[in-house]
Amino acid sequence: MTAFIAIFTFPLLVAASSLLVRDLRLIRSIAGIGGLAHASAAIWVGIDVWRMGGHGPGIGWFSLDGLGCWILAVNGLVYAAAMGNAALLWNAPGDIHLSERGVRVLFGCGSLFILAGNAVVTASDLGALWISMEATTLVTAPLVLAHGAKSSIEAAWKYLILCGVGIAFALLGTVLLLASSAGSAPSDQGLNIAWLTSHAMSLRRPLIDTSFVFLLLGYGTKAGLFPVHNWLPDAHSESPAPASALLSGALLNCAMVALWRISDIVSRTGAHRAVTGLLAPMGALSVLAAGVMLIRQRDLKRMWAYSSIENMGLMAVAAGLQLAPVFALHALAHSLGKASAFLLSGNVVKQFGTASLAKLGGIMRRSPATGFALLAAGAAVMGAPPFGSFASEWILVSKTSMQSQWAIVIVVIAGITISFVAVLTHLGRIVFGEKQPELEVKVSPLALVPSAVLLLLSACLFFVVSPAAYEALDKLLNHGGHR
Amino acid sequence: MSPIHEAAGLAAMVSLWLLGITRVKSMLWGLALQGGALSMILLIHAIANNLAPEIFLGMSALLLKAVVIPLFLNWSAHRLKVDRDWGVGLAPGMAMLIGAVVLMTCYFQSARFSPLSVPSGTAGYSIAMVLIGVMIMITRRLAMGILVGFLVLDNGIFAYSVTETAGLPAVIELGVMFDLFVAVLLTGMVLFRVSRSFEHMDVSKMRELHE
Repeated sequence: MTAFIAIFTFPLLVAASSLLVRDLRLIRSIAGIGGLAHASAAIWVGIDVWRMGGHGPGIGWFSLDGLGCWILAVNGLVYAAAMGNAALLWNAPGDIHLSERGVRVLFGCGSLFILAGNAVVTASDLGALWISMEATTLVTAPLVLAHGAKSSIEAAWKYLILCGVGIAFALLGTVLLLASSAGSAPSDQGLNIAWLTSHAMSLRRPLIDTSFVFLLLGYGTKAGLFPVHNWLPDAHSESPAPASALLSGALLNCAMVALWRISDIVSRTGAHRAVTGLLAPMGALSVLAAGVMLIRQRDLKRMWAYSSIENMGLMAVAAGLQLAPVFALHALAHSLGKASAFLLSGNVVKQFGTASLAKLGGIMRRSPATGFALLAAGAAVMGAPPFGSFASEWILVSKTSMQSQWAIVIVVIAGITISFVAVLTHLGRIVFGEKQPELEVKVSPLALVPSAVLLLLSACLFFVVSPAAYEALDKLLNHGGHR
Repeated sequence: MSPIHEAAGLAAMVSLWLLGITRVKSMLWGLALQGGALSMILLIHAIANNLAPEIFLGMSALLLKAVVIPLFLNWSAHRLKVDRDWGVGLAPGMAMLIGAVVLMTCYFQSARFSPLSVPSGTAGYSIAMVLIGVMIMITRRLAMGILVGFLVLDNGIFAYSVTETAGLPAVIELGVMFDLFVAVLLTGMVLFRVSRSFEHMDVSKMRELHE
């Protein structure tokens, strides 16, 4: 219980310090330490829940289950890396055009976001889950606005309105789900995930189908699934790099957890076909569409953002086919790779003053460590060995084939292949291409450490995944907690 | 016909009216009226059953939806010098006509959306409000008009929640309202930034991020 409370306390302390402490250097130190402490607490809680077979502590509408603690640990790693990178990268508040206020917003809202994100993944009630999800939108909008440029304002407007409508649809879906349990559920249990899961067969079918469509559209918008993904590339590319890492590595997972919880309930009502027939194809189409859109990218951060759409598509396929361990493995693998990719992009922007793929070039010759790390991050994100995403994508394709979902297999493989070639081509050009003007700003080699640690963890994941580990993960995710 | 049914019908008719008007001040009056009618449903139900938490919830909804949000948006519109939204794509009259068809269709299809064995039509009104809210968002040119559409959509969900279900738990409902309040404040703040940086409020002319 202490560690569970600690998970919510550390980010709150960092947020409070970013508001109250005058000295920016002190805020940076608090954020760095707070991030590490939060990650340690999240992993500690995760191990405890694992030992207890998927049952964990809870407070009110929030409690821990296998999936919740897994994603909590992922959030913890991404938050620690983002705060660490932000603390190490900014020697002066004026760096990469972020004002002192912008730096405070980054540390403060980034911490409030992780608080809301943790609430999403630990919510045991769909109402509390919705409120937490809306809170993630509200606290991340200032992050998108942090640069204050015209493009940031446009991105923030799009983010607020599109995600606002999406989340409103999710609320309608939630209320419809509540209506479907009318008469059978006790008054305070109508949205309780454990009750809905165990009494799924007593829910009214026509309302469940309508509810699922609205929830899919709503949380699908938040997860950036095609065709409701429009806000994502703008918001992720306009935010400062550590914020982009948080948005891509943690926020999208939170939305996918919401979709997982909903799919789990709906598939138990006997409407399994609605989940397999809507969520999995939407995921497969996201993989393909993102691959096609990746070809014409001209900006490094937008490229990573489109790759997030592709990876959320893969997770949606796993959720649609109810492959819990693949879903969890890919969430971890993608977050490790993508957070490091965004953090490295921040280093590149600071070093060379641009994120334009046309203007960048010869990174390997000018800064070999950054160039090598960028290539590794690209491999980790696109599912190349020796990184965790290779294992998760491989298992996803093989499990999908075993369920004879051939159309989905073909679309997913086509999407993954196109994305791989597109990202490799863009990265090859900026890392090995023509040398561009000299370095603008020197970046401390220490700024590479958070990304390197994430990539190392992703490589470890590749070697750890085995049939026995898969079984253990399956057991953790499919028993206890919210079931 | 019960007062609850009448209030829900009034809220649905107001959303139809909002679809056909261009003056921002009138839109905000409509929004206040709609919010007031929907809050009254909650209050009538709470007072009739003597439910203290729901009375508090109803009063909060009345204050937020009928007073605070419309007043804040009116203040913002005044400061931003936003007077009329002539819309984009679909003329207000035509939009209103299509909205009327949507409203009638939803009303007669109420049974599809209602958990009650004898649907009263309020589920249809609520879903119509959601759809008309989306139509307002699509047919408005200015950021302020789009925000009004979003609030109509949100009112539709609130209407469904109070007429068709036993209601969300009071704490959750308060959380939902608080989130809405913060969302409106934050969006208002972004509107000021839009106006200052772009020197207009026309969303269709925002092209900084077009690929």
